[in-house]
Amino acid sequence: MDDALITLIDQIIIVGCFFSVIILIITNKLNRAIAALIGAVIVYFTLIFTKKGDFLVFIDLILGVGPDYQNYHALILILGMLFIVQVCSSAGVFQFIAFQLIKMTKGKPIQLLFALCAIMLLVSSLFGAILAIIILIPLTFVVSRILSIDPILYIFSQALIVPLGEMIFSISSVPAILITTSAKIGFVEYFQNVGLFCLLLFLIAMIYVYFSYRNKLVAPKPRLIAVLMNYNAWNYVPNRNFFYKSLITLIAVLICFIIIPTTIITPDIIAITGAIVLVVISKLNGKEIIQKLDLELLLFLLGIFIITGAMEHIKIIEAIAKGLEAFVGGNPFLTIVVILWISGIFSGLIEEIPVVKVFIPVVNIITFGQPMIIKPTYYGLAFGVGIGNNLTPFGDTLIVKNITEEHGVQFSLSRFFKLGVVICLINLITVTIYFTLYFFLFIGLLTILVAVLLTFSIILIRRYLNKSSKKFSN
Amino acid sequence: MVGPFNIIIIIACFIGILILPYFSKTNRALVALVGVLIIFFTFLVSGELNLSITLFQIIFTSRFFYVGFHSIIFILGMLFIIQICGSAGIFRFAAFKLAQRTKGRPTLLFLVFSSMAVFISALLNNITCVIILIPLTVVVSRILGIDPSPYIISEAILANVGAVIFSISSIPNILISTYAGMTFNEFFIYVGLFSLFLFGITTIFFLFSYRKKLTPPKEIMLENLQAYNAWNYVPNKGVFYRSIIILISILICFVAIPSNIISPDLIAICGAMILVISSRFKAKEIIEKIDFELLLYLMGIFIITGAMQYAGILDLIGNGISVLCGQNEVAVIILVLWVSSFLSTSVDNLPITQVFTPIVGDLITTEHMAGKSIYCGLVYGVNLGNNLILKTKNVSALNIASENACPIKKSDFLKLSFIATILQLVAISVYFIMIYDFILGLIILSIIAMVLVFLITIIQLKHRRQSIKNG
Repeated sequence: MDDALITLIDQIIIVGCFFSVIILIITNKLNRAIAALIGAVIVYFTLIFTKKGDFLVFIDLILGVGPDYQNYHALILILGMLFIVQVCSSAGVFQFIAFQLIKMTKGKPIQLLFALCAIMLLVSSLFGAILAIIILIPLTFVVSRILSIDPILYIFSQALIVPLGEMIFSISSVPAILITTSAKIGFVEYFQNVGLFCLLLFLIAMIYVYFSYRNKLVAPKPRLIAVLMNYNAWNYVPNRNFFYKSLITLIAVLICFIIIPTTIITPDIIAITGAIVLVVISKLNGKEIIQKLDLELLLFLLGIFIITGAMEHIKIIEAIAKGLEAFVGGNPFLTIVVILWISGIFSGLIEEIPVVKVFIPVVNIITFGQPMIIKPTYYGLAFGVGIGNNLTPFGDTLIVKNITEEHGVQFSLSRFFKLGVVICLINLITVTIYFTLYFFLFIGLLTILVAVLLTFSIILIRRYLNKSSKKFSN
Repeated sequence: MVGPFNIIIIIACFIGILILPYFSKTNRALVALVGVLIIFFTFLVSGELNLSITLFQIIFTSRFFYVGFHSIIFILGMLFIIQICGSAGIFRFAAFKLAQRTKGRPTLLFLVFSSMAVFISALLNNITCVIILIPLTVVVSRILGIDPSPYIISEAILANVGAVIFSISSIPNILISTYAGMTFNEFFIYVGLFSLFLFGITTIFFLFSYRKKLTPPKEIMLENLQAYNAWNYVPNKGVFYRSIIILISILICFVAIPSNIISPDLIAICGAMILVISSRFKAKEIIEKIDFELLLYLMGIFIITGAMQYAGILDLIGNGISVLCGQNEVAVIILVLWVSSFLSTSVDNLPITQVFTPIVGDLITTEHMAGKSIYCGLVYGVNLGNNLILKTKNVSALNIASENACPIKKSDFLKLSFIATILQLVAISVYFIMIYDFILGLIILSIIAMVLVFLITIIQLKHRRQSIKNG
């Protein structure tokens, strides 16, 4: 057989592996870690038998190619964050803060909505989606039971906020960690470019939610508000000493992320050091904490690293990148916007981690020779992958659904889907405008003007329609 | 290349990892990670490596890490296999069926339980063996109305003999065979065959020391045993048959596929994946039960011992050994055997293994020694050594026994396990001497045999005198 044929066979098998793993995961036929590991083993055999590759290739696929070893840094960072999250969540830090914040709203429905969403943004930005959901959704139920209000609107909006929170810091989620470690974007740099803008996206999403729900939010009875105010937030804290220790360590780790440049100590080492310090001073049972760490996530990541690494190795990713390049024709603005929308749509349709792992090398190739736009393109990718989560009610939303239904409340996926698509599109458009401003200030301003005018006219038209319908009913 | 201060720090970290988990209740994986971070920061502060990443690069690109990586994947695969086969009830079923076949004859029953212990720990690992077999032993002995303690003690001690049969039987074996590049078959020929002999010696020792305690049960009890259905131990027959077939085919793959075509770690992980899918257990639950702590601990040790190698500490120890023994291979083997076994009594055997393997590897290359039998000494030492003292597996064996309302005295256990292990170590030493110098070995063997006969006669004389006194 000649080389071209062998390469073709390789490509077919490996791409087939990638898609079957994704399909198996989406259809929930197989645990995602097991699916990814099986795919990885098949890919490895393919590489060994057709390419005569040796074990070192395998190590390269898992750890990343030297001298960066980006995968290895990402794995250590994720491991460290898993530790920190595990300890802090059992200390009750965020349940406490959330409850204090809720008390400050004095039960006023709009403030309550805003407070719940803001705390969701904060927790998911520090701890990632799953933990934020596990901590805050039950808390929302407690509050809504005390106030005897309908929790579903609050839960919908919280679920919509989670993906936004996941974009705020470079440590917030696995995609953010993968992107920042391979693009070598620092903590502060990432926050300035992506995180701050996410706050704006959050505001826009909140305004949209407010306008679509403002009639349905009813004020609770004063007697029930008094009950809420008497509830002691310290009930959430099992041990005060431990509470203060973990709060201080968490803040110290964040400060270290901000002030220590990545050239001196890489963030993964900061995270794992903070994690170990936290575990040691918390005096919790080390074995229990380790056993609770998300080994499934790590195994899944290893599998995905191998499969996508192999796709890079046999130049499939290069082909994708070349295709995109031909489409955008080297135009920097178009490149970013295309990456933004494509990654957004794909991460909505399929798991976000494989999408990120495929797109990182694509961005590398596509921006080759244009050093100015490397980082903006990565920001575009980060935005796309994060915002895209709201496109479909799968992924983390399913956890919200499960918890909600455990509390005996119906969670309508189709209703959520309608809300999610709109917010996802609004956010994507906003980010596109942001990049337009970045490249062409004038056109950007013009689009903003048009957008504002459109919004106003829509609001006016709706009011007019409402008035006229009221007239009719009268 | 590395300053004296750093060398001291590295050694201190290593000793801390050895000692701290033993004396206090700190978790070993956490201690190992702390050690890694301390080493990392000393390198960073002392500025010997301008960018701290370099240390890790050296470790990752070295042969050392390459080997470590193979073994981590191997261990991960084996952990899956152990998890699933342990809960499929294969071994409980087999042990119970065999116990029924013995018709309650005590010696035969003893042989069945001890060989099952060796078998299980050879295929899975020794802790799983203890967890599976001891509750079963208690059940059988209750049905028969006999004292289970001799059976339990011998099972716990023989689990270690099982651990030196295959290259997959214990984690030190995996580490050593991966480093030495030994195949499954080679390992069995070099190490496993003689372990069967060790099994024989140890069982004879136990039968001798328990000859008065093994009493035959009553007839009625025997009928109860026969009436009990062994299938009760199997939660799901489909899973049972499938896991037997897959386990056997994994073993066949280990035996039949040469490791230069597919390395054993890949066979293990493939088998594990097939097992997970075919067992239809909840994959998430299986993954949650995987011993992640062990994996983290191993990675920590890999990095620390890697740093020790980088700093030249391991070369120093290796030089020490070659000064002591010169070119004499037998001396090296016996030294490694006894030192590693006594070191792995007081502390965990994984760091000891990880330190000694590269030392042995270097000795083989520098002194031109004929390879693999030196590794064998290490394998025996680290695996058998932890019976010299009450530790991990033996502690859990005693705990399981007392949970099943059959408490065993620690001192009784320790006495027997200590004597048995010393006996095994002596037997191994004689074996190696015989391989290299048959006549010398024969002389030593005959001296030992004479001493043993002498001891036995003394013991029997004592007993006779006592029985005369008692009338």
